[in-house]
Amino acid sequence: MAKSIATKNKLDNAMLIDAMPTKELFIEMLTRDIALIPAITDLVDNSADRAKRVKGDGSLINYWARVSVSPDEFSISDNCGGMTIETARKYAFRFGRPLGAPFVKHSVGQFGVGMKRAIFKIGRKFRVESTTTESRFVVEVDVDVWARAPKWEFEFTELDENAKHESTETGTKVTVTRLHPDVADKFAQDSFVTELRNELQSRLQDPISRGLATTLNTLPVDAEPMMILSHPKLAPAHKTLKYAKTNLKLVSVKLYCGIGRSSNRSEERTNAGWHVFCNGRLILEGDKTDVTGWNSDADSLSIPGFHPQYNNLRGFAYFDSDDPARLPWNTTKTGLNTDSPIYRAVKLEMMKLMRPVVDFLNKLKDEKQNKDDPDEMGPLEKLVDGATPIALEKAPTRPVFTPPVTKAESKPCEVQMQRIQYDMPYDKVIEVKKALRARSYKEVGAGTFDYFYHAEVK
Amino acid sequence: MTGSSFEKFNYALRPAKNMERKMFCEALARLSRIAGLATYRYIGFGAIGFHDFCLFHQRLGIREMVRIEGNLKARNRIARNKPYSCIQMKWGMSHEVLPILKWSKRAIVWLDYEQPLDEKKLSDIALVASSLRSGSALIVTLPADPGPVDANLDMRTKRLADLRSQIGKKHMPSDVEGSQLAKWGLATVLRRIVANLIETTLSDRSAALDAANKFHFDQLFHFHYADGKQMMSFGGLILNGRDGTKLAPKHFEDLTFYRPNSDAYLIETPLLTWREIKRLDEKLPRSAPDVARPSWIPEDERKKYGRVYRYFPSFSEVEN
Ligand SMILES: Nc1ncnc2c1ncn2[C@@H]1O[C@H](COP(=O)(O)OP(=O)(O)OP(=O)(O)O)[C@@H](O)[C@H]1O
Ligand SMILES: [Mg+2]
Repeated sequence: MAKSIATKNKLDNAMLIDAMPTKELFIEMLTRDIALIPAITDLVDNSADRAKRVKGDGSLINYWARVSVSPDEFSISDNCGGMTIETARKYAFRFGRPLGAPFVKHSVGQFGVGMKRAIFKIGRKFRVESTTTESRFVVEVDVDVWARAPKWEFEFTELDENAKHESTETGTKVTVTRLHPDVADKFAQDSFVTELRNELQSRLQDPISRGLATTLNTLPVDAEPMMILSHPKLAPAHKTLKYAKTNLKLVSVKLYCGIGRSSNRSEERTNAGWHVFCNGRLILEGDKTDVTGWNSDADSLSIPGFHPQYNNLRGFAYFDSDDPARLPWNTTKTGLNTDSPIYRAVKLEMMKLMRPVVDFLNKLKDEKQNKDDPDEMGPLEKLVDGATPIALEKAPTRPVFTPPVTKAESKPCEVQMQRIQYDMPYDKVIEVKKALRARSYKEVGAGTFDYFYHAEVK
Repeated sequence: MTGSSFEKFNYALRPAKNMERKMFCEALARLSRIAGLATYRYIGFGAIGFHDFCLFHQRLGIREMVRIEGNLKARNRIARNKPYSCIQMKWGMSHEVLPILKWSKRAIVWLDYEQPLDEKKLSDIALVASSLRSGSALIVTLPADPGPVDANLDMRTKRLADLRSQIGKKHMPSDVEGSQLAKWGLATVLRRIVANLIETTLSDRSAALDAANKFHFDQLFHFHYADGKQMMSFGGLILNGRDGTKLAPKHFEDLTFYRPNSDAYLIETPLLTWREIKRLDEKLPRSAPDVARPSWIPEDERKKYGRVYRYFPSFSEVEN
């Protein structure tokens, strides 16, 4: 009897083919598609998610997340509650979210890779320490050693399953050492640290503005609210959409599109376009590509390609759901899944909201180009210039952006005008200018046109 | 929407157009299966005479009407020709005005273009299709004249290239050949382009919706006619699953001009005198479809008349 089972096993084994991924390939794949900054952002997302588990949509005041980068060491620590031994054992260190893993309502974490990917992206040695009110553990791993071992497991270095800790002591700290040389280089550069700060500021503006005190190398990272110009005539369009499906959690979408103004030119460029958020996390910042409908070949509504004349366009799309799997983001949270049914439907609405804004900015450009005195502002330009930027959530909105009708446009008997532009040899132009007694080149053009019209046409 | 056609000739004397309007009206009256027509809005372009507005107000009882008018030159004159107080004027080109309209009511929208299809118009159509509430109707009329033949050119290549440059590559069905663009071929291709566009738009719009809420388009009209230049009209209903059960294709099958696919209904105008019309009317509808008498009227004209007599403009009806 025993013998026959043994032969059977042997036979079965003979029929099997090994398809186990090598750990190095896995690490390589995981880290290749994410840049360093989004990887670090993922770690702060985890702290915020943990705090949200307690506070839901409420204030996150008294919670903090501290990031520190140096050429020798990376670390992030938080006081957001820590992870239980059970979470660590079953879910936190798994690559990919296993079925049945508990989820935080309205969380940013969805795929179950962020923490591991960030660690591997940064270096080859790490330590995760976490304390809850009832437990504490430490996992310390030398990735070089781990990668050689066949088993897909980590081991607790320290484990305390029945300890009492004050809630003020709870939290998680992730430390990475033996940094990849290129990462160490970056961490030494001021410009990198500045970029990281800016990114944390914009990507995490939702948890930070709700109170999560975030620091980078001990300096606070402040929330930067989304701004829009407020003026009764320039009120941004606002639309709320809800996508319900039986047995699935609701996805609600808030869209805004209007006019903005930034304090300097380079910011203007970043701020222009669409900002897309999923569960509060900024996924696309100032997008000007076909992903948000610009110059898209695949879409039925036509919006021109982005051009500096649209620098004042501000679009905001907030996707929210208790079930993060319903949101149209990719695993690195740096882009959108444009095939997602919800995103397809929402994109159409985004394009509809942005059409009148695009039309308005085209008119603004025409106005600027056609004015006689370069120093004088036209009515539309004055309007934009005179409006004040305020935080988006405070701005009064309208269902559609309704471009203001200016005086010049509403002249009682309007003739449709066509602008003509051409180049002629300078000497000849001067001669004609003299002959016409014209004071400007504009008058030269108009004068010669009138002359021909009266002589030959009418 | 240029509104300039009235300068050429009186719109009401375009008999095929006149008949087309009445056909639309007869079919759209059936929207009452979904909701009373008094709750609908009509959005159209129209010419100086406001004929479609008059008809839809008189026959369908629609009280909320929006006219989009881009001919600002004739602003004063057009405004003074407004026949009813319930017509609201929105000045500007359709691609500027449509995006800022409210779409909360069911509507009948007739994009009655006089200029050839181009990207702006396609965008109008997509915008309307993506905005209309279920239970609404959308009609698109486009010039579909293949134009004069130039003996020095290969017309097949020229027509294909012209169409592609007008509407843009992305809207051009890949299998269309230049040889298909002669006679009524252009009209048929235009119908297909517009139908495809509406379908993709509705599919995007419905992507995240449950089956009962998904939108579809039920085509009712595909007309070809030529009062002067050749024209094509395409139209139908935008319905979700629920409304689709209340008003289905079967509710239109009795209409002789009902066309749910690429087959077109050619609106032909018989050439008859007033006296001849009276004679034919006396025997109709019993004499239809052969209309065998009187033999002194040419058979062709008799038959044409038999098909359209209920819609044919009578002189007493000339609108002003
Ligand atoms: N700072 C933290 N505090 C508490 N729990 C944490 C923290 N960081 C990670 N975790 C736990 O580890 C799990 C795995 O994190 P990881 O970032 O790898 O995946 P995720 O957040 O679930 O999904 P995603 O890949 O979308 O970020 C989390 O779901 C959470 O339970
Ligand atoms: Mg995460």
